[in-house]
This record gives sequence, structure tokens and C-alpha cells, in this order.
Amino acid sequence: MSQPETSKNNLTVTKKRISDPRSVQILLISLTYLFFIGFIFLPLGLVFSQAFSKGWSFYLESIREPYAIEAVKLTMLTLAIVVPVNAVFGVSAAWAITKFNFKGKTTLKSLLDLPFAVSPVIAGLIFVLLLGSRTAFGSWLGEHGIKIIFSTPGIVIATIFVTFPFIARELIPLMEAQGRDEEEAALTLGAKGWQIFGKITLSNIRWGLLYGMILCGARSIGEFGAVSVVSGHIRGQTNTIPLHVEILYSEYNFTASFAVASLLVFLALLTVVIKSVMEKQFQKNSFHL
Amino acid sequence: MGIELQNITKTFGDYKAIDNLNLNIASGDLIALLGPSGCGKTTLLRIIAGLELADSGKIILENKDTTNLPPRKKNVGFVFQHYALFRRLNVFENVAFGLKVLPFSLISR
Repeated sequence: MSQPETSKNNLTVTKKRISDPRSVQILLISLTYLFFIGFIFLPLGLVFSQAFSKGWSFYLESIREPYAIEAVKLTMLTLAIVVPVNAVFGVSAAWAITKFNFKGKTTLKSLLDLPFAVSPVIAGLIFVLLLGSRTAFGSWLGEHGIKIIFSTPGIVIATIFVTFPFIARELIPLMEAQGRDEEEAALTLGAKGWQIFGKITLSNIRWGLLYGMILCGARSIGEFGAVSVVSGHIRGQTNTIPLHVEILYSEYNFTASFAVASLLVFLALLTVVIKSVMEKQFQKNSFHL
Repeated sequence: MGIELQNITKTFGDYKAIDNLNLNIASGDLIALLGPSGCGKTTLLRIIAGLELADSGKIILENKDTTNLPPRKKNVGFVFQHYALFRRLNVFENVAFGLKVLPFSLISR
């Protein structure tokens, strides 16, 4: 386009440039809505309509039934172990990878993605083959009365494996971008290691840490494949919520299955709410912390 | 004698950043290190502050051998190229940080 000569020409050109992509805007917005409707609103609506298809009392009965309660308890227990463990691992792995130089660093960094690349079923199988009663280690554990596979520890271990990249993945780019300057400045000012970690490093990464923990938690609640392999599906003992949903479904108990599934949806929605509330809270506090 | 550097050598992999450097700076002197980028100015400052360890040589501050002391015991002030303000702390906390992390015994004196 040639250079506009008068100011009037200039104005029309600018106006045109702003208003031009209107059709593109409409297209993109409606595509986004279509996608959301097709992949989020419709399925969610279906879960709830199925869950309540036999009324409130049946819904309450399905989620109050002892096996369902045990499944919820086991899922919560797993969550309560997995998230702190992965938070500690994620922070130390991200710390080591971004702040130190050591051999095999690049390999470790790329291996961090392995649980994302490997199918969860394989992940579960790895631990059955590693810790099951047929292996030397597994039978040794069995002789000492420690049961891992087809028991709660196995479920926790498999879930840790599937979810461990979330926090480290979130933190590595963040810590790489922040560099070491602030830690070194604190060092020359006389701060000790734990003071630097607590006052500088941890508060610089808490955003990413929080976000990673939320993703990790959401995934560990919903993990099916790996847990399914190591769990053994013992009702009331080694069934997590997703496994309980599957068992009910395969018993043609659709309504109860969807009722329990709606618990997962509530947990997911709760995660989203917690995340946005915390984000707001942190933004408010970030000025005088 | 303020700062005494004896036979300082530092290499990064194959690259020799500082090669057997000797430098004496008297107390109260104002010294500028000049040179093209990559010639080891920052590395030398980082070694004096203790943020980097020299491969060999000695760093003597105020007649005290500080070669193997951690940075917090060297008491060297350091202004970073990119200022390195603590982004999560406010102005007051940034200024107060150095005092807050001092050991209690030093504060009460």
C-alpha cells in the first residue's frame, strides 16, 4: 500500500485496518464456542443428566454406598501423598537442572517427559513387573509382610510415576528464565542457603509451583490406566474413584456409574475454582509480601 | 593492603578466562577493569566475591586469606549487571534484606 498523503487518508486507513478482521474474529469466537460446547458442555451435561436420571435419592444412595465412600477415601489418600512427594521432587529436580551443571543433565531433562510419552498402562505394568510377587524383590517384600502391588502403596507409586513431570515441567522454564542473579545477590549480602531458598527462590517460583501442584493433583485424582493395572480392583480396598466408575459401568449400573463420575467432575471444577481464587489472592498479596 | 590477588587462574572447559593473574589494590583505591567482553572482568569480580571458585591462586582481603570462604563470610559488596533486585520483595524489603539475614549476634552488637 502506498504512503497516505493527507491526514484524512491516514485516518481511513487506520480505521479499516482495525475493523478488517471482524469476520475473522467472529469465525474464531464461534469456533471456540463450538469446541467448548462439543467437548466440555455437552459431555458435562450428559454426565449430570445421566447421574440424576433416577432422581436425587438414587444419586445420593450411589455416592453414599460404602464402596463408593471407600473409593473416595482411597483417591483422597493417594492425592494427599502424591502431591507433596511430587512437589518436593519437582522443586529439587528443577533446582538441580537449572542451577547446577552436572553430567547427564540434558538426558535427565528429556527423560522427565517419559511419563507423558509412555502409555499409563505400560507405566502400571512396569511396577507390576518390578515389584510384583513373582520378582525377587517383590517376593522378599512379601516375606516381610509388605504388599505393594494390588494394594495402596502400588496405587500411590503408579500415580507418582504418572504425575511427576507436572511440577518439574512447570518450574524448569520459570527457573531458567529467572537465572541465578537474585540468589547470588542474596549470597553476597550474607544470606544462608535456607534463607535464600525460603525468601528468594521459593517465593519467586511459588506461582509455577502452585500451578504444577494443581495439575498434578487433578491428574492423580483422575488417573485410570496405571492405577488400573496395579490396583487389582478389590472393592472397598483398592478401588479409586475412576476404577469404581468403570466397575459400575461394566455392571450395567449406568446411573450409579455416572453419579460417581459426577464426583470426579465436581473435584475437577473445585480444582479450577481453587486455582482462580488462589491466583487472585496471590496477585493481591504480591505487593506487600 | 586492601585486595591482593595471587596467581589467579580460571578456566571454563577449554576456555582460559583468567591466566595466572597477579593484582594488588591498596585500601581506598578506585580501580577500573577495562577490556573487551569475554576477557574475564566479571569472572574476576565473581571470584573476589566468592561466587566463583578459582582453579588456583589466592585471594587475600585485608591481609586475610579468603580463598576458600563462602560468599557470605567475605563481606564483599557486589552490584550485578542486571541489578538483581528481589522481584518478590518490595523496596523496603529489598533494602532491608542484607540486614535481616545477618546473624543475631551481629545485630545485637
